[in-house]
Amino acid sequence: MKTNFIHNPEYESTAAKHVFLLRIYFSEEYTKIDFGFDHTKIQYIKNERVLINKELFISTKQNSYQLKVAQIYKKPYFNKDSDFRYFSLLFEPVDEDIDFFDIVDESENDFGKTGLYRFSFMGIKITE
Amino acid sequence: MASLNKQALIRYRIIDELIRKGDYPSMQDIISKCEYRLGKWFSVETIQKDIEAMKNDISLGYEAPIYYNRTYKGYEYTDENYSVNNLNLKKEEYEVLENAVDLLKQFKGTRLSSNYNNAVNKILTGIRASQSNKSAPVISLEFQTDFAGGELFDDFIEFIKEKTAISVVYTFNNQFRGDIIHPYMLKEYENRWYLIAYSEDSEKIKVFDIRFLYDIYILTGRKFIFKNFNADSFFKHSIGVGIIENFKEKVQIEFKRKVYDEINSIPLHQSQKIIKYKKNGNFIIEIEVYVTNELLNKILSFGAAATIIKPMYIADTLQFVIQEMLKNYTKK
Repeated sequence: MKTNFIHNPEYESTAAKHVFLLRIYFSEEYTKIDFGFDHTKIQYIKNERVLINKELFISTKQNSYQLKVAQIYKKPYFNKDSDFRYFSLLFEPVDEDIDFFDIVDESENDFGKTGLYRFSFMGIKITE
Repeated sequence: MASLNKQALIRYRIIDELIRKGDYPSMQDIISKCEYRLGKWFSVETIQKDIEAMKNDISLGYEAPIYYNRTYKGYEYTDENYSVNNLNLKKEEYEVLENAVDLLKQFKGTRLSSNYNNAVNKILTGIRASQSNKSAPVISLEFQTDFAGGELFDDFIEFIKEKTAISVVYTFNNQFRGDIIHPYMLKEYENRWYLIAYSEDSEKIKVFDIRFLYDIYILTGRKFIFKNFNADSFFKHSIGVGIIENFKEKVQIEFKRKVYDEINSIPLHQSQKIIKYKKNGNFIIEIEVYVTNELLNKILSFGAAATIIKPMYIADTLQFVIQEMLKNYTKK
């Protein structure tokens, strides 16, 4: 890995409509991925938490392994203070030699109106 | 203060911030937050020492009433109004502050002293008021100490003073970005605080509303980028903090006679000049400014007493806004 941080990483495609990939932080202990969440176009339900599938994972074509999400920080919720929220997913550290990875959610559950369904980013470039 | 202690001071503030929220943060919550904010891992022993120092270190002077609540398995303040940010001055410390104000009075008339006097006088009057009657404040200042984003205010000052680059995520114009920024100064406008910083993502100096800067990491090893920044020239054509590069205009506004004193005593902008007096007492001013929302809001705040003479596209914009406003008050 060339750097600890990647800001606004490039990726090939996404299935996430209201989610923005903002930053990836690599450390020896974990990989942290920060997202922005815009709920202006989603039905507003006061104080409703946005559900995120805990089965989502990082995968790579290079090493063909999977890392499941270990922790979700600051789950976004609907609050009148701001239409914009950010949240973070923590994974185990990824291998040093990886140049690209995918964040994949293959769940069938759409969690209703406030869930992040099929929340995926493919071909994320993690080298500068 | 030695740089060794700087991180400790940031940790104290993080601990204070977590406890004040009232969620009974556990040791692990505190460690995670410190790691999250400072970008490095801290041991249980370090945080325990921090809490001990906040409670008992006389030189720090916090005397924080921290208590471990076994029911909720987390920390709390036994005095719910306590914060390490409160000014808890002893009589002799208060006298030292008053002496400092007297010292500053020697420089009366200079711009520096006037700013400092205002700041120190605000603190002193606040203390006097709170000492005289804690339940009924006798002075009300516009400045708010609990503004949004305020919990990071002291951190930003440190980043500026120490020339420290930081990694942030933020929202700007309804878009999210991640960025490495190099903070230069803080600026207040209408009780909101803005950080002026060089953005590596945009490759230019930008104005960030601190309410929308999130999840900060200190990049201690990164070379600080200092562009040729001068606040006076940077904001020369701004009303407030809005900057639209290469988009400044000479704006002419006609005002009704009744607001003459108001416009004259508090100009809309430093470039303001009166270019015409009319027979009916009305007058026309000209200002050279960026055409921003702050400008439009300022003009709208005068209601029917202000009319844009030129450029016409600003008049058209205001006409649209006013028509939309009118819909809110039209009976259906």
